[in-house]
Amino acid sequence: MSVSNVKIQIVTGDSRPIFKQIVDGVRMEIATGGLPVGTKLPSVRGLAMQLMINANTVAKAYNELTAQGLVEPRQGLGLFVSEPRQLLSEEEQQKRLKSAVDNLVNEVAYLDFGSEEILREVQKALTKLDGAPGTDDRD
Amino acid sequence: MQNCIETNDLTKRFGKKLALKDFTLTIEQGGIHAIVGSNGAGKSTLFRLLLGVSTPTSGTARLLGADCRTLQPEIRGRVGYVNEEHTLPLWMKAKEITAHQRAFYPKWNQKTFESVIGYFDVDQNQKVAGLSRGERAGLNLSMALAQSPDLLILDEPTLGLDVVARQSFLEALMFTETEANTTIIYCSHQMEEIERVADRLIIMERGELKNNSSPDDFVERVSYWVAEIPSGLPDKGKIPGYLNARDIEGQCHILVADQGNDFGDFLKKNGATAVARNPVNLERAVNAFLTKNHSAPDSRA
Amino acid sequence: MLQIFKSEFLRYRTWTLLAMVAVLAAYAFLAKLFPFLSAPPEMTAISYIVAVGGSLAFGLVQMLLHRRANHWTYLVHRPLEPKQIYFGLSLAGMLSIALVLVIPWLIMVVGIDAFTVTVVDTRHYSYVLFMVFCALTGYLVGSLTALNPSKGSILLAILLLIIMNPRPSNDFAQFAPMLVVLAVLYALNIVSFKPDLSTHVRKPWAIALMALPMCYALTYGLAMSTLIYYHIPRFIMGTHPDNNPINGTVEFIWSLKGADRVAYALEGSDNGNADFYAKQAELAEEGWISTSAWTYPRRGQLHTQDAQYALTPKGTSDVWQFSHDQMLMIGHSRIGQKPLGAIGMQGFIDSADDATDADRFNTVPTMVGEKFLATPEVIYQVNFAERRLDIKHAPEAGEHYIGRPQMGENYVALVTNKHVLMFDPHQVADEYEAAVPEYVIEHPVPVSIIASIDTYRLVDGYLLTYYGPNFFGFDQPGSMVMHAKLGGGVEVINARHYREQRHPAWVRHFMEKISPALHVMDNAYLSSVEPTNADYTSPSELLAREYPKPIYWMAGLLMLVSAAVNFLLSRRHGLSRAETVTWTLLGACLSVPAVVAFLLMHPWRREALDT
Repeated sequence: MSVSNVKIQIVTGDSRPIFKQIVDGVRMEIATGGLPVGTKLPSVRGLAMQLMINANTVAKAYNELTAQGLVEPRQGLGLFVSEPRQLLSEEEQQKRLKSAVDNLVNEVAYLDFGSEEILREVQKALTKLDGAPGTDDRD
Repeated sequence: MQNCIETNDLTKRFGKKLALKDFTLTIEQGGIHAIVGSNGAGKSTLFRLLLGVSTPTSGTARLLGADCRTLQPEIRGRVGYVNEEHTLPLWMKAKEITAHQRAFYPKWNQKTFESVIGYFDVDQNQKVAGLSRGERAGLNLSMALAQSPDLLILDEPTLGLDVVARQSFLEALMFTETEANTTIIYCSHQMEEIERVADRLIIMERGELKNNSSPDDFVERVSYWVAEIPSGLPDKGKIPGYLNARDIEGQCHILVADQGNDFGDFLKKNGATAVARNPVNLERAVNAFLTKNHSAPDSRA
Repeated sequence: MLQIFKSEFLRYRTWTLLAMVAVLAAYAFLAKLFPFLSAPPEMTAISYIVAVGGSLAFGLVQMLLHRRANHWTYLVHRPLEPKQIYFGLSLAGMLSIALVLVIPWLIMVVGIDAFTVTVVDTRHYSYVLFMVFCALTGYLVGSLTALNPSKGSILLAILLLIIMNPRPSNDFAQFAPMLVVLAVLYALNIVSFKPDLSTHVRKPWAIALMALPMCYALTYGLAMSTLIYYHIPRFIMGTHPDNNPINGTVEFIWSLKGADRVAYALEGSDNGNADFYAKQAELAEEGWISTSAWTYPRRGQLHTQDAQYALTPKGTSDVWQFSHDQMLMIGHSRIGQKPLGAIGMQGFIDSADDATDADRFNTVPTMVGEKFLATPEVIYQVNFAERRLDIKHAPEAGEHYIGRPQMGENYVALVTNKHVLMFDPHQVADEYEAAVPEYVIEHPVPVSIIASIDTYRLVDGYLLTYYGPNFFGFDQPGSMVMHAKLGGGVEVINARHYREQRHPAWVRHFMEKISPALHVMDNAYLSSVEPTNADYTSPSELLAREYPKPIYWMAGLLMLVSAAVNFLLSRRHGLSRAETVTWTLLGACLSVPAVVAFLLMHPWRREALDT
């Protein structure tokens, strides 16, 4: 149970609000195993100072992460990466999956790769994700 | 709970010019409230009215519950003010001016002062005239925060500061441990700063209040559309929520406020052959609001 | 408050020191040019201009520096009452001024007192108080000009004239008005020093205090306005009496020369000898006697008002000065600074220390020429060689001189409240003889209404022409030709009334017309401060005058109109009831100047009135 180093960057001038960037960043860190289950997240103030942003923004991101079930608070100790469980509705999941695929397609459309090649790379990435601890039942 | 700032139909007229027009704004306690507006939007006038150094033409303004026209020393002691020039007596040494200031404020917190001044490299034996702009800003902020004010008004405090000084200033402002739950009014042109620090975003334009919400909610209000309209853009006055539009290589790039996805349908109805909605960032959204009237002088009235 | 004072004093510390050194250097330099305590009047005038003008400029600049937008907010926005902030600032400013004036002066005077035998009295020390008060008045006017939004604030500089111009008859009259003026200006500064400087003062007492001196200054401004619509047009048309004298006015006499004057004063005379006298005058030597009252020195007066510094007998290096502290003439020789003793009322004394009360003068004598001491009651002659003090002349009981001896070519004239006395110059110059007048001519009218007297030396005496614009009563110009005969006897040859007036009544009595109240107040103040000055008319005398009827009507009408205009203006500006009443009363009492004052003390722009 160690305080982890959250390796996320935030960018001002992005169309995503900063709190969204934190949520995305932490989620990716958890997904890629950078933040294993049970890891303590930095305090709100700590992360705010690290990122040079308003602490309320970090608090808002942490709330969102908690709501999504990615992290859980422990009384008086702080936030910890939780055992994964799905809190999102079937419909919401469908929506997010579609949005992610849209983004992907949008990005790769102009590249000189065939569908085969692209699918293979996606498969590879997903396998890596499956191999990550604590994400077994994710597809 | 009492509001920090409360203005009601506040109007200030200078000759023929209306600096503030029926300005009604409520700022609750706590948080950092960024005020954005182009030059001449009435920000300084608002602050002058709030601090009672100017008298409204009509309407009322209250600071920490007290009428701004008759502010008593007790209220003044609870409100800090830092201006863009960082006005300080140039002829005094840093330590003299600190002692000077300390004498006025009963809630002076020396620990706060020391922790804030720690961000800046200020030689206490140096006269203010000899300090760099960044050091002056640091000294000024240190004293403002050490007063443990209930409300701190910062009028473009980082104007003209270099990157290092600006970073120190923001850090000191955001992360200094103070006992007081200080409400901060932060006026700036730096969108990046605002994105980082602001809990609330207040937009002023030509003496009127255009927005008072969180920055994220504000960005939500603005949508950015790209459309191909062979027949040309409809009359600006007829576009709902119109902010501004540009023609880039035959495509219309339109920014509108408070419009949902059905705005796409509106465009199609008006002859658009292809319509796409793009994401928009804070700076662009704010600029769209601020340039609204400037780019379309014909659509006023 | 103390912090504000400290900070502000620190701000000007270097300047204060520099100014102090500069003043001291200037003093040291001047002391080489002339005896330091008897500066020529031009030098005194320059020192007033520098001290008062400099202080005014300092007050203005000091507050202007603070009223720059951000600086003003920085200054005012702190947990301190505005009046305490102003107190701190003004205390620092006033202390700086006082230091710059007091320290160099004291260094000089103490030095002169300690290291020379020059007479140094208490009044030489206290003179610096006068300087400081005048400078502080200037300072407060300057700061008020910067702080008060009224366009007329600077007009309050007229208060300087009130306190500096007259020669007060006692210390109280000298200093009490200054303290009142300082208090008024300070109070006005305090009410003007408010967070929003653009708002005008609204308290009735502040309005009245500010409007009164402003109106006073405005009466002079309005009087000068006659230049525009009366004097200049008439000059252009060539009909102005200055370049086109009107025959039939008493002033026509100024355009005439010599015997023509006599002829003019004799015009229309039924005296059979009139022609004879006109002829006689053609051959006569002319002279002139001034009848204007001269204010004799008072004990402890400002040394800058002394008419003459010392008696310095010819052929010696002796200097005799009058000490106000000891009421004795004190002498010393410039060679070796050797003391020469003293002169008391009873004559020479070996040392001032031996003087008894009987020796000391009752009133301060004024020094005349090389060997005369004059008081209103007696003229002494000092014989330095024999160390004797003789009474040269003393008028009869109940009579006193109103001027100093006037040395003419053929006579020495002395004017008393009752007579013109003419002496033989040779007899006056004589070391031993008391002077007995050759001619004693009783004033035909009170001396205060005689403008001047022309003299013509005849074979058997003098022909005298008296004249004045109020010679036969107020606004009744006249002249009188008299023959003073050698060996006694005075014959009135002719008295002439002049029906014509040089200027129309509304120009002659312009001040009374545009603001009777201020005219009375002005004269009441000045005549009480300096009663001997005949230019100032006491209120009782003013009220006893009979002006031409239209003046009364016009003055009354203007007061009514001014009250009405001020009332309407107050309504237009949406003033409170108390302010409206104040302004209406000011209009009713002070007349036209109060209307101008209203305009100067309120915003002009329409927009500001829309609230």
